[in-house]
Amino acid sequence: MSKIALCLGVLLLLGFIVVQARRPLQPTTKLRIQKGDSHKIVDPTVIDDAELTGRQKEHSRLFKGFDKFNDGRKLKDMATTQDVHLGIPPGSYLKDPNPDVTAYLQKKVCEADAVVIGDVTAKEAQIIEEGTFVFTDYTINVDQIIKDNPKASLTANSPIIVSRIGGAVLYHNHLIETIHSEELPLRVGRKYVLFLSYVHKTGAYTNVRKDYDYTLFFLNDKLLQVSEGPLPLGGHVATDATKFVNNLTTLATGHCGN
Amino acid sequence: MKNLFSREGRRVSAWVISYLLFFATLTLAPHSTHIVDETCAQSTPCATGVAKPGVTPPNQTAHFPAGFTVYVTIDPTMQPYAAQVKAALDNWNTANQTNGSNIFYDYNNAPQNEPNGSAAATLLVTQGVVNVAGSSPPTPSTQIAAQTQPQRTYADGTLQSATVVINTATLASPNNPSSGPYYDPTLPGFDTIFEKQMAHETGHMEGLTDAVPINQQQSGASAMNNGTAGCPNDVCPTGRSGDMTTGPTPCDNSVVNQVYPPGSGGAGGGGINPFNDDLNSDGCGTDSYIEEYDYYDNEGGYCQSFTEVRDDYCFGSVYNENFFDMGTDCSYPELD
Repeated sequence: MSKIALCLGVLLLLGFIVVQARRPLQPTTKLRIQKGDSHKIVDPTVIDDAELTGRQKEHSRLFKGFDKFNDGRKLKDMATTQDVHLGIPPGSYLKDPNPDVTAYLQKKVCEADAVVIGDVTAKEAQIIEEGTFVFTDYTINVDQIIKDNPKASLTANSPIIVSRIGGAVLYHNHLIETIHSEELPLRVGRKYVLFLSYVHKTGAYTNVRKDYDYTLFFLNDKLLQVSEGPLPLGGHVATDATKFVNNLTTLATGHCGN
Repeated sequence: MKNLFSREGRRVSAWVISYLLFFATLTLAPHSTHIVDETCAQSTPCATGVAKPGVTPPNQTAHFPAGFTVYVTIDPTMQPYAAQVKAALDNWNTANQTNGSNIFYDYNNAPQNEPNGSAAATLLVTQGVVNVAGSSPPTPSTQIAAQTQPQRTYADGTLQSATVVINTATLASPNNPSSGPYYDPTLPGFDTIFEKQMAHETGHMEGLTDAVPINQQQSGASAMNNGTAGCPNDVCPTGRSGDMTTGPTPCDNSVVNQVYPPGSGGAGGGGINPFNDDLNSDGCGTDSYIEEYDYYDNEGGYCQSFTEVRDDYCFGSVYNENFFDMGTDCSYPELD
C-alpha cells in the first residue's frame, strides 16, 4: 500500500507542478487597473509657447473639420487654469455579418501609397493651427515594407514621420489631451501595420482616411486593430500576425486597377 | 475495498485525501483571484465597457455628470421622428432611477442651471452628414449610422453639451454604393430605428462604449450593440430583427453603475475620473499603472485579457496574460 501511496503522491505532485507552471504570472505590485485603456497617452509633449514648425504647419492642415469641436474654443484658452481632456467617441458603425476581408484589405492596400510594419520610436505633438485639437507626428522605424511608395521609395530600417490627429501636450503645466476614437494615438515602443498616405510637401505620411482607421498593432504574435471599426478585424479581436502579414504581402503584389 | 478500513488502509486514505485537499486548494484558489468579473463589463456579449470622463479612447469619452438634468432639443430635421427619440430617452430615464446615474433627460423645458449653480447640460438631436474624421476633402461616412459629438465639457471633464447626429449618408451596405439608404422609410423597422439609434447614443453619453467585439454581439443583449450591414432600419431582409435595442438592458445598467458608483449620484460628480489616478510611484520619476485590454482570439475561439504594467516614461513593460473562455452572459468561466 505504501508504494501505491507513494505513486499517488508523485502523480499529484507532478499534476500540481504542471498546473502551477501553466498559471499566468500575476503582477507583484498593487497598481491601478485602467480597463480597456490600451491607447492611453502617457507622455505629453511639452509645448508651452512653442510655435508650429514649418512641417507641423503643413501637417496641421491635413486634419479638416476639427475646428468645430468643443464649440470652437481654443485649447490654450481653456488650459490656463486646468487640464483639458476632449474625446470623441466612436460612431455607431454598421457591422458586417459576412465580411469579405480579403476584398476589403485589397481595397485598403490599393488606397494606400505605402503599407509598412514599423516601430514607433518617438513622437511630437502640437495643436492644430485653429487651436482646437492636438495632432502628433510619430517617428516610425520601418521594419518591413509591404507596399512601397512609388512616389518616394522607402528603405527598411529607416525612419519615417507619420502624422495623425489626436495626442497630448503639456501647456504651462496643464495637460491638453484630445483624442478622436476613429484615429487613436500610437504608442512609443509598440509595433504597427500602417496604411499610409504620402504628404508630398513634407515627405512624411499620414493615415489613409477613407472610412475609419484600420491601423493594426502587434501584441506578441498577434495583431489587433487600433480602432473599433468593424473591419478588417474589428476592435478587440486578435489574429495570427504571421498569417495576416503574409496575406497582406500577397495582396500588395496584386493589381489595383486604374 | 475491505482493506480500506484496515489501519493501513485508513492511513493511505488519509494520505490520498490530504493530497487531494492540498492539490485542490493550491490549484483552485489562485484561479478565483482572476479578474473574471471585471472582464464581463468589457467583453461580449453585454460588453458595454466603461467609458470615463474626458477622453482616452477607445472607451473613455466624456459622459454627463451624475444627477444632472440634460435639456434636450430635437431640431426640425428630427421632428418627424421626435416620438422615437423621446421614447428612447424615456427608457433611459426609467433606468437611470436605479442604475446610479440619476440623470434625467428633459425634452419639455428650456435649459436651467443646476441647483448647485452649474451651467445647464444640454443635448441637441439632429440629422445630417457625418464625415470621415479628418478627411480632406470632407468625405461622408457611409459606415457610421449615428455619432455623438461632444461640444463642451465641465471643468472636471464631464460632458456639458453634446450633439447626436443621425447620419443620413449611411448606406444599407456601406461598401455597396447601390445598396440604398440605411434609414429607409419604405422598409420595415423605420418606426423604431431612430429610437434604437438614440438609445445607443445615449449609452455613450452615460459612459458606455460599443459592445465589443463588434462581430460577437448578441441580439438584444445591449443597447450598445450596433446596426448590421444589409439590414436597413435594423431589420434584415429575412425579416429577422437586428441586434439593437430600444433602451438599456440589465447588462447596460450594471456597467452604468460602474461609471456612476455610489456617492456620485446627485452630487454633480462624474463618477469615475481616470485623471485622478491613485497611482503608485515606481521609482522612475513618475507613476506606473496596469492597463487591461480584453480581446477575442480569432484562432483560439476564446477571450483573452491582456494586462500590461507600464512605466510612464521608462517604457519598461511587463506583460501578463490571462485567459478566459467565451461566456454566454456577463459571467466568464475560465478556460482551463
